[in-house]
Amino acid sequence: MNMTRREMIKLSAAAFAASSLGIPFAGSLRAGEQDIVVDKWIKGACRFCGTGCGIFLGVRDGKLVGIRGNPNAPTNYGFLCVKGFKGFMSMYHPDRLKHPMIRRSDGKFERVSWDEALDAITSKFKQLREDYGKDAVAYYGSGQAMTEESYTFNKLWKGGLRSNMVEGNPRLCMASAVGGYVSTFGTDEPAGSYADIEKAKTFFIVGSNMSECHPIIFRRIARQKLKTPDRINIIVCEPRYTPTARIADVWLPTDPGTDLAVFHCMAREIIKNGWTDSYFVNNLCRFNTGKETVSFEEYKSFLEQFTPEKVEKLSRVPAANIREAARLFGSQGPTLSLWTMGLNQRTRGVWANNLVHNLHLITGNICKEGADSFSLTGQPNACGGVRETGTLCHLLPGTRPIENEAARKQVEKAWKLPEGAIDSNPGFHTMKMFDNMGGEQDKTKPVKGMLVCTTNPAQSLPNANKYFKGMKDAYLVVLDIFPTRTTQFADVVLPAAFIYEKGGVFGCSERRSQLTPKCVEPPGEAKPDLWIAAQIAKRMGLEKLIPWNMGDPEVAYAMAWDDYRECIKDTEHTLYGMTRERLAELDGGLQWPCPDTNSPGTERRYVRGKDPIMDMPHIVKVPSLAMIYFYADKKHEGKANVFLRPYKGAEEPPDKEYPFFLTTGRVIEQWHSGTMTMRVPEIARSQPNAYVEINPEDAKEYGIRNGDMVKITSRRGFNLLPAHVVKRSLPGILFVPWFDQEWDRMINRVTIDAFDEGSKQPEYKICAVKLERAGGPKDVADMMIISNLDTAFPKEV
Amino acid sequence: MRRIAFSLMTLALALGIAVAATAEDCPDCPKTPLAGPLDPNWKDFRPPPLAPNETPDCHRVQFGKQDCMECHKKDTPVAYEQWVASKHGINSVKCGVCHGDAVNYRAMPDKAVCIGCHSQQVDNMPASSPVTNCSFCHKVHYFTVHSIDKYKAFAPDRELKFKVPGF
Repeated sequence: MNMTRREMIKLSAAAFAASSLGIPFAGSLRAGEQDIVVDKWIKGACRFCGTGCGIFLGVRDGKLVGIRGNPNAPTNYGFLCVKGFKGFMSMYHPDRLKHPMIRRSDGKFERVSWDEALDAITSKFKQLREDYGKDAVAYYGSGQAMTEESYTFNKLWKGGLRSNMVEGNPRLCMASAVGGYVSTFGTDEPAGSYADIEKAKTFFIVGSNMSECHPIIFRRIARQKLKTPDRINIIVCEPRYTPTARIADVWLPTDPGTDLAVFHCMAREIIKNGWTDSYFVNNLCRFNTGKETVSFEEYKSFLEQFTPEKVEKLSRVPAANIREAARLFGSQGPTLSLWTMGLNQRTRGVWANNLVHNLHLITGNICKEGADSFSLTGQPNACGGVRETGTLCHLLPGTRPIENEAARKQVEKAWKLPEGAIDSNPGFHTMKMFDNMGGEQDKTKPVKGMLVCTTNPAQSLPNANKYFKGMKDAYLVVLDIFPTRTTQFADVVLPAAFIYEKGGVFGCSERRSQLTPKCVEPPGEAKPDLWIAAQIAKRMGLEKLIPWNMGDPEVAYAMAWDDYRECIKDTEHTLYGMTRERLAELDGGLQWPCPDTNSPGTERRYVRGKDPIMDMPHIVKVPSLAMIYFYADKKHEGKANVFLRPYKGAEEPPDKEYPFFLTTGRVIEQWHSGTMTMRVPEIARSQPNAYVEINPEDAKEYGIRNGDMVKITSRRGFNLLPAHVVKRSLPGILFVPWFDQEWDRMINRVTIDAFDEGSKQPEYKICAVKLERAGGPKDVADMMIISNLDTAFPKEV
Repeated sequence: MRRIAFSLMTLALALGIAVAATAEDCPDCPKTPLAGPLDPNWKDFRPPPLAPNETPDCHRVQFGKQDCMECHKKDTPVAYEQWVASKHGINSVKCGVCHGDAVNYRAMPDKAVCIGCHSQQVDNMPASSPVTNCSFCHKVHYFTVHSIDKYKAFAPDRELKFKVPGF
C-alpha cells in the first residue's frame, strides 16, 4: 500500500479511463453511483452558517469520507459552499482534543480521567456557589451547540442551580434581531421562509454580505436575478461593494451607522408617492414613538425631516439611489428584505431592525407570498438552539421573557419544580458577565466561574483586551474540539464530540429544525456535550431534573428533545409535532409552529390557513374573521408597531485623531474564529491571514501600497495587518475580517464594546481608527492555528 | 481499482492535512516551493512547460501560500475571466472547491467532484451514456454555452453604474 501521490493519481486516472470505456448496460447504473464509494449516505445538516443546508454524509469503515448536498432539502436544493464541502475535514485534524485536561499549578495541562475532571469541576462550582452565592458560576454557550445541549444547560442553570447567569454568543450576533422582532411583532423570528425568495420580485439586502456569509441563500437570489434580470430588482445597502452587490440594481453605500436615516427617507418617499398599503396602515400598523401611540399623520410629519438631499449629506448615499430604492421597494413588490450583522451589531441595532420592519408594514410587504422582513441568522443553531430554547439570561424556553410570571409558572410546572423556583431577575448579559468575571480574591467581580461551550470568547468579544484578565482569573471550564485563544485561559478543558460524532437538532433562520444522526465515533475520549452537561448535573445532585446522562447519545439526545418539546408545547413557538421520527424521515425537517404530528409545519406565520396558531385559542385568541393578525401583540389588538425612532449615528464616529471608520466581518472560506476552517488546507490557502481593505484614494494619501504592513489603532488597541488596496469600501472606511487568531491580527483588540441598550449587542461593525504605514510587504501568510494546549497566551494579562 | 484509489485519496485527505505548503506537499516533485505572496519576485514567475510524460494532475509548480487566484489571474487570465463571468464566479465557488489543494489537487475535476452540489444532475446521467464526464458539455470555466452573455452582464465592474461619488 506504499504508494506515492503520483502513482495514486495515475491509478485513479487509469481507473477513470477504464470506467468510461465500460460496456454499456442500459439503465443498469447511474453515473454518480460509481464515483464515491461509501458504506452509507446519512442525511444530516451542515454545521456552519445559519442557512441550514441539507447534506448527505458519506461513511465508510467508520469514517466520514465525503459530503454532498441533499437535492431534496428545501434550504439548499443540493448546493453547498466551500465551508460546507471542506469544513468537516477539520474533524480528522491531529490537533483534536481527545482527553480531559486540568491545568496544574505550574500552568501546564495534565491529562486526567473523565471522573477526575468532572469531580473537580463540580466540587469547584459547588464551593464557588457556597462562598459567593448562587450566581457566582455562569454558563456561556453558543449558537453552534445542538438544541438539546443548549436546552439542557439552560435547564441545569435556571431550573437546577436556580441561577439566570446563562448567556451565549447569540447575544453578540442575533440579539438585536430578537429585539427588533419582539418590539415590532411581539414575538421572535421571521414570519416568512426561504421559499419567498422564488416568489419575490424585489430584494432589499441590507447589512449583509450574503454572497460570502450565506452563499447558498445568495445563490437562490442570484439564480432568480440571472434567470430574469429585468423582472427581479436587487437593492444592496452596505458600505462595501461586496460580491453581493455584483447582482445589485441599486447600491446604497451608507457610511457605517447612518442607515437609520436612509430607512426613514425610504419610508418618506414611499408615503409621498402613495406606495403604502392602506389596509395594513389602517388595520395592522400601530404608529409608536416607543412611549406612546400616535397617528399615521404624525408619523408622516415625523418623516419630513428625512429628505433625500439631507440624508445624502448625512449618509453619503446619492439621493437618486434612495429614491430609486424606495420606488422598487414600494411599487415593485413583493419585496423581501434580508439582513444580518450589519444591522444587528450596532448600538442602535434594535432600532435599525424596527425601521426595516416599518418599510414592510406600511407597504404591506409581509404575510404575503414573496414578501417578508427576514433576518438571516449567522450561526447554524442560534435560532433553534439559543433563541427558541431561551438560553440567554433574560429568557425561558419558547423565547419568553423570564420576567413574565405566567411563563415562569408554566416552565416550573414542566420542569416539576416548586413554584417560585425560577429567579424572576434576569442574569448578566454577555458584556456585563465578562466585565464582572474575576478571581476569588477580587471583591468587585461577582462571577467567579464559567463553563464555556463551543465558542471562543477570548477572540470574539469586542475590545477583547479588557476581558482577558477576568477570563484568566476566574475558574474557566472550556468544552471544545480544538485548542483556542479561550482554552489558553482555561483551568479545565473538556474534549467535545463534533456534530457528526453525536448527532442532534439544529434550527436555522427560517424556523426550521433538522436532525442529524450520529455518524461516526468521536476520537479518543471526546464526549458529546450533552453527556458532559448531564454528568455535571448528576454530580450536582440534579439527576432527577436531567436524567439523560446515559452513554448512548441517541437515547440521551432523544430524551432531551422530548423534554424540550413538552416544555414549550402550549406556546406559539410550539414544535410538539416535531418528533424525532418525523425529523429523521423528512428531507428538510420541519418549520415551527408545528403543534401536532399531523402538522406539516408553518411556512408563513400570522396568516389564517397557513399558521395553525391562528386557530388555537388556548394559546392566543384571534378574531374569527381576521386573515392576517399579529397575535403576539402585547396590546391584544393584532397590530405590529411602526416605530418613530429618532436618528442616531454610531457610538464612536471618526474624528480628527481617529479619522477612519473600521468595520469588521467575514470571508466566504473562514468560519468565525477560524479554529476549524483554518485547519482545512484549501481554506487556509485561500485566506491564510487577516488583512485590511483600504480604498486606493486613502492608500495614496497615506503612501500605502498593496501588501505594505499597516498599523490601525483605536482608542483600545492596535493591529498590524497587510494592506489590501482595493476599490471595495468607500474612501474613509476600512474593513478587516475577524477570523485570524494571530495576536497582531486579532481585530477584536481594536473594536468597541459599546452595546445596544435594548438588546445588549455590541457595536462590532463601527469604531474609529487611525491608519499608518508600518513598513513594506512582509510574508504574514502563516495560517495561524494553536496546536498545543500548553502554548501560552501571547501577552501577559 | 477505483475503490483503492478513492480510499487512498480520502486517506490522504483525512490524514495529510499539512497546512503550510512545503517541499513535502509533493515529495516527488523536483521543483522548489514557490515563495510567499509578498515575495517581491513572485509576480515574475512563469510556469515551466510540461515535462515529457508529466501527468496533467501535477500542478506543475509547487503550491505557495497564497490564494490560487493570486497567480491564476495573471498566468491563466482566460480561465480566470471565464470563471468570473460564470455562475461559479457570481456565487464565489472558488478554485479549491473543485480543484482541491496540494494534497488532493485535480487539474480536471471529474464528476466525483461535481456530484457534491449537482448530485441530481450526475445521477440523472445514465452510466451507459457515451460520455459521463460533465465538462464534456459544460465547458470550463463558463460551464454554459447558452447563457454566457447573460452572465457577462454581471461583470465585476458593475459598480461604475451606481454613480457613487468617490468610488
